[in-house]
Amino acid sequence: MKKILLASAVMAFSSASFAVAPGGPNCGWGNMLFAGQSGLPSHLVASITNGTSGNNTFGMTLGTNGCSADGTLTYGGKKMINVGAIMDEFSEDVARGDGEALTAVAVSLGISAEDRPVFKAAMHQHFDSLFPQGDVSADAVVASMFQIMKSDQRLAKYAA
Amino acid sequence: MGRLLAGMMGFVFSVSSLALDANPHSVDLSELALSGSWRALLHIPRGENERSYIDDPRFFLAKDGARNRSAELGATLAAFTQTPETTACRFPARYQWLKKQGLLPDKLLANCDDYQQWRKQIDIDRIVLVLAASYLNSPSSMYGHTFLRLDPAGARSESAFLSYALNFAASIPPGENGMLYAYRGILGGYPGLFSMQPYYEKIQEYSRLENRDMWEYPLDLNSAQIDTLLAHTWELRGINFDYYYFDENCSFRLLELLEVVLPDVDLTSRFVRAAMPVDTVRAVIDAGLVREPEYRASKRVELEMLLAGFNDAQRRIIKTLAKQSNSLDSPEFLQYSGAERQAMAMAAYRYLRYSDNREQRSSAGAARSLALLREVQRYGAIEWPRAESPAQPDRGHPTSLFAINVGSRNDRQYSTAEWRISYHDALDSAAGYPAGATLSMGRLEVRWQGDREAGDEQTQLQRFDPVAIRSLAPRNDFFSPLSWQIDAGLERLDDSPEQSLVSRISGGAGASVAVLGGIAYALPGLRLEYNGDAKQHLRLAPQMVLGQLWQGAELATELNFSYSDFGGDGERRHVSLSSNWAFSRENALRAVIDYRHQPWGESTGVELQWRHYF
Repeated sequence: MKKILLASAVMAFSSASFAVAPGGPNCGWGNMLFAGQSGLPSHLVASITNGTSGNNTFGMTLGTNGCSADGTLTYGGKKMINVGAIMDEFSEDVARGDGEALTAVAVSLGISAEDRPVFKAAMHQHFDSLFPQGDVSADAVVASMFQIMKSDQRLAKYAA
Repeated sequence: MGRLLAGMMGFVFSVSSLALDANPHSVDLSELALSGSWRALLHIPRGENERSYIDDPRFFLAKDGARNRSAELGATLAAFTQTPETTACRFPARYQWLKKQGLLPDKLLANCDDYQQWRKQIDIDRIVLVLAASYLNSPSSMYGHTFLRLDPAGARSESAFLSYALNFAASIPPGENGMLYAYRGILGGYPGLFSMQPYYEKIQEYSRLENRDMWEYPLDLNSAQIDTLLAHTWELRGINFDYYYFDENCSFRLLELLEVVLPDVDLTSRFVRAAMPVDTVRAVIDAGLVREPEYRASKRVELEMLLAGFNDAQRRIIKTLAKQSNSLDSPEFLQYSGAERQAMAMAAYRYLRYSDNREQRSSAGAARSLALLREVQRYGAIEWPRAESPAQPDRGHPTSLFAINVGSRNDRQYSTAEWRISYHDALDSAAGYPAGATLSMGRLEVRWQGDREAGDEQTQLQRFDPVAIRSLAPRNDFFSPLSWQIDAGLERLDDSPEQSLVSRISGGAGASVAVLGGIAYALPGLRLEYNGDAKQHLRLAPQMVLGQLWQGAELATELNFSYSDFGGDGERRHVSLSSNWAFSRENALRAVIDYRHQPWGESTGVELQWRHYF
């Protein structure tokens, strides 16, 4: 986030030139497998001097920088982690059936520890409907996720 | 002015005369003002008449609060008298401390909506000190970066993707010019701020984009200490510190923050001049605040681990898979078992994501990535191998060096005292340091030689190198990094007739490969040298450096050959063989033998070094 801002400042791009991710612009970064955001290479100086751009102090917690207040988003009335910002990690976790990003999504949906393996297995089995093509949006992924949960006996209660 | 007066009054009168009257017995305010806790809360260094590290007047209630702890205490108490709740909401850590001293009543924080909402949302019950190790192939980032990870309580603690990062960094105004940025970032001029963000952004930044390993050291703090730390963090919202790359940097600020929690532990004093992140981590470990760290391998390290499990034929297929999505149907690929295909598709996927990381997103690349992920998924859930943890960076040799060297060149004996401010060369014990890297800052050698009886004793500067960097990153079929070196400084040509002291800058870039259990390298480059004793004082000499390096935690050896052509001032050839034995974490012995063929003659030398790291 901050380095995209910085890179954009250095390279005289406006941050508006980035596609808007579901969490708002400048939420998450890097070259994404799925459409959403793109990365910029020029951040070397920022790395060396550990710089940040000015506007994100406590931005996340106070909701001033385009990211939601506590790193979560509301999808269809349900609060959960900003899937758009972790799409790369999430899609890989779904493909291999487990991982930190998939766990984070499950926990943020309030899925209990006993039901989490069910959730992970269900997502893994329905990889193709979650990620039908490379240009799928985070909103569509989350919508499919809720569909899959609704049609599963154990998971339906979390999608209500 | 009114505030200042009130502050003075608060100080002059005993506390019981304050409207709050929380404390029936009088407390000695001047003693309180000198306490370690108050000092830490104001970020004032230890010692007399020190000024706070905080440069932002908004942090202080007294006009001279940055210098005058008593005045700031008086002004704070006065503010609590006038607007108790507002002041508590603005300074929750000060409030809690003063309440503990019996000076303020309970429950002043109860109506601080913003603060309470923030605390409830993040709901932190564990704090982790994170060290982002150096960049691949970039020794200049070897110093690393530190920040805190804040872990929420309950189920949210089960994935670091739900944690937060608390980071101190320079704040760069939008539109700043890149060069000015580097200059001011290093020499000062930018304000520094604490900021919070989701921890996954840090994972994406370090582990994925920059390919830096992360070390996560859980801190041994109880819930009261965590409460203090967060309350104080709230006080620092939007507050400017000066940012300096070498001393008042991210790592130093974190120590200041920890001192607020542990005012009696001196973490900062030894880092007033320079705070290297790994050294600050050691200080926190030495203070007994840290439990065993977790290692978070970078994407690059994970990729290398995946690739190491395949034979040459499979590696070729993996490369093709990453380039052409239709190769998933090729007979070469289909001849393998399902499990093998899954593993190869995973490696190809990771390789593709790695290679595309810094490119603009392309639909074709995304489609290929997705096809590979589908291939991975087809064969069912896959167990993820964990990258083996290398030696912890805090367990590496200390970063400063003092060495005593004795040697002989063409039968003339000498001894040398050597001092290096930081950091590491490729022959020093490699444990905890990035492979193939040398980063030497501020290296000074003073040599004594001669014959006392004959009366020709000499003590003279042998070498002063402000900077020397070398990065050897081996190339292979998947990665083709550049290997490079640069160094600059003063050097005495100790075998030349005039004992010339030359100033030089030299640099080169080439390649290295892994062979014979080590790294072979070739670094062609240039050397610009000023030599007042030469026919032509200033020369730009083409040079070639070849070598073979074997690194290790205990034993390391390097064979080096260099050739440089000074035109009318002749050619120089130099072969050396060096071996280093690190017999403890703080000590090593090194032997160097060399042969030089130079315009003024041949010489052979042998040197034995005792190297002490501190």
